[in-house]
Amino acid sequence: MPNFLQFIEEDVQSKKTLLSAMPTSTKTNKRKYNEKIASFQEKYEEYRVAIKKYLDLKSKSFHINDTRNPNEINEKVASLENIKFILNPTNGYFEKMGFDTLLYQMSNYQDLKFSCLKDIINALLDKFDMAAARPKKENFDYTYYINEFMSSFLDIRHSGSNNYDQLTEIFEKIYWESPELIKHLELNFRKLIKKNEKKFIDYISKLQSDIKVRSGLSYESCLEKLLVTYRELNSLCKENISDVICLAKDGTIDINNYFEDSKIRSTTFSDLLIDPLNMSDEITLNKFYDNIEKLTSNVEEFANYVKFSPLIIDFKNRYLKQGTQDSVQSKGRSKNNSALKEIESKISKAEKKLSKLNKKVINYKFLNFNKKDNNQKDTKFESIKLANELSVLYDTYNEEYFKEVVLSKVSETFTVTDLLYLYYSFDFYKKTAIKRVYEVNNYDEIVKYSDSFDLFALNPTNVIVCAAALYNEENIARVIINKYRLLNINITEEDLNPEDLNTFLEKLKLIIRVREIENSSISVEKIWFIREVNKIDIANSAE
Amino acid sequence: MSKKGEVMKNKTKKADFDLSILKLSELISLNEKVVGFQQYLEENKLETENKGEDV
Repeated sequence: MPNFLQFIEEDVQSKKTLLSAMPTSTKTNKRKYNEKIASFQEKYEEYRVAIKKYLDLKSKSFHINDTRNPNEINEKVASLENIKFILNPTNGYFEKMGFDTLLYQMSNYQDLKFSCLKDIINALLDKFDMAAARPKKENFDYTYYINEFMSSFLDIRHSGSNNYDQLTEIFEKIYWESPELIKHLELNFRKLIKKNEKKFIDYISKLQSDIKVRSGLSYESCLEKLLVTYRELNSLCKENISDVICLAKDGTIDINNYFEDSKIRSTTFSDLLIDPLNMSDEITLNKFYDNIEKLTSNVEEFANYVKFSPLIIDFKNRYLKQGTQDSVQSKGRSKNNSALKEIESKISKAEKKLSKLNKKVINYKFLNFNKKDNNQKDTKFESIKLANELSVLYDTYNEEYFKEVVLSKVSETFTVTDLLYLYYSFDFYKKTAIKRVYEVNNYDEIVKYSDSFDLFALNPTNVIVCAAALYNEENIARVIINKYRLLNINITEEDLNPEDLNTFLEKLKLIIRVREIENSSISVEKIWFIREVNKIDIANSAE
Repeated sequence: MSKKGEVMKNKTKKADFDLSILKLSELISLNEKVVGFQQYLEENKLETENKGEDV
């Protein structure tokens, strides 16, 4: 049977010769020449379509379907994470109710639209409802304007209309008279949360009891179960052969580097070995692959450590450099405790004064709405001034509160992972620190950093940061290098340079993917073919 | 051409050239050669309007 490739090669040549021999000097010659071309084009379009159909079928036959279904295990993780969140002994009702996250969002209102603000307020009010602590209009008494705004807000909320258009106008009108309105609203909510503290504590306490009974888990057993479940999830979601095919198909990885005779492949292997390896010895080779997988996981963890090291350094400078470690724990703590109480008392006094002051203008609104009174203006002004002073006091209080928490946790054995967990437990402070350290002002960007921080903090495969003491300046990179050099893996300090980490990780991943391909039913050549067919599709769709 | 004729032609084509005997790299090369020749043909079409004189 003739080889079609050979036929095409010869056919193309002969057709080119034929065309070159055709006269083209006259109009008729040209027409005939073009007719010949058109007949060839018709034939070759038939060939192209038939070949493409065959290529598509062949490529499809090589695909390996991804049969993994992580949904069930993801749900299990989410449920355990929720239990862990509620039972977390590191934080209190404020964080468990989600007040810290919502108030952080509110304190960054400059990035938000009115619709977002409306959602935050509603979410806060929902929390109060959950704990049977529904606030009334008169509880929003931080300033005259807060009362005006929240009275309208509550009217709309309780009417169930969900039409807040009218409120946008009220907001805009008030905003020009009292630009600190949202800051004052945040403080008003803080005051109301504090006022209803017992109800929230009881609510959380009941929730914790219910969860413990329903799940049969304590905090510790939840952590153990979570670790096992995370490991299952990691193993299930580990890059597999269908992922490799997808990465090659869309060109994310260059499959040419995976052929056995590829120079890149051979140098990647040889560069990572101190002594050459007998590749034909299956046991030795598998051991090497296993070590590379572990190293990859360690390097990924290290990359996260590097990413968040400015946050770690900031934490150390801010909270741990107040003298010796002993004094941080004993003297520092008691001193801080009294400082916190002092600010609390100042806030309480100022808020009582503010409440008294506002009663005059808020009551005035209802009783004497037709009368004009210069005193009213003065009182409004005075209350805004006092609310602004309280804002400063609250900032100090928040800082001292976290300091108090930190000081109660730190010890000589305080590790990086303890720090990760501390920030994970205190969202408000974590986001505040991210904003300060990375100098990001955009709210969405802060949330992005925060989410990736949480992923790192929750990663159960973390091993290095679990052992690395925060006080100790030991070089984590050096620890990794020493460990793997003992296992005949040639890793250098340059490989772990922060700016070279991604290149190094790609080298490690190449080796892991080689193993994945070798253990699968597909060859590098077939993956290459899938990629080439996809390239044809891309070229066709671009035309 | 009648319907019957078309079927016959397709059958002949199938019998003439069996793509399954080609290696994967040859299949890609085959496609490249066909597409390459199509491009060659397109580029070599001659302009006919208002050009050249019939003798």
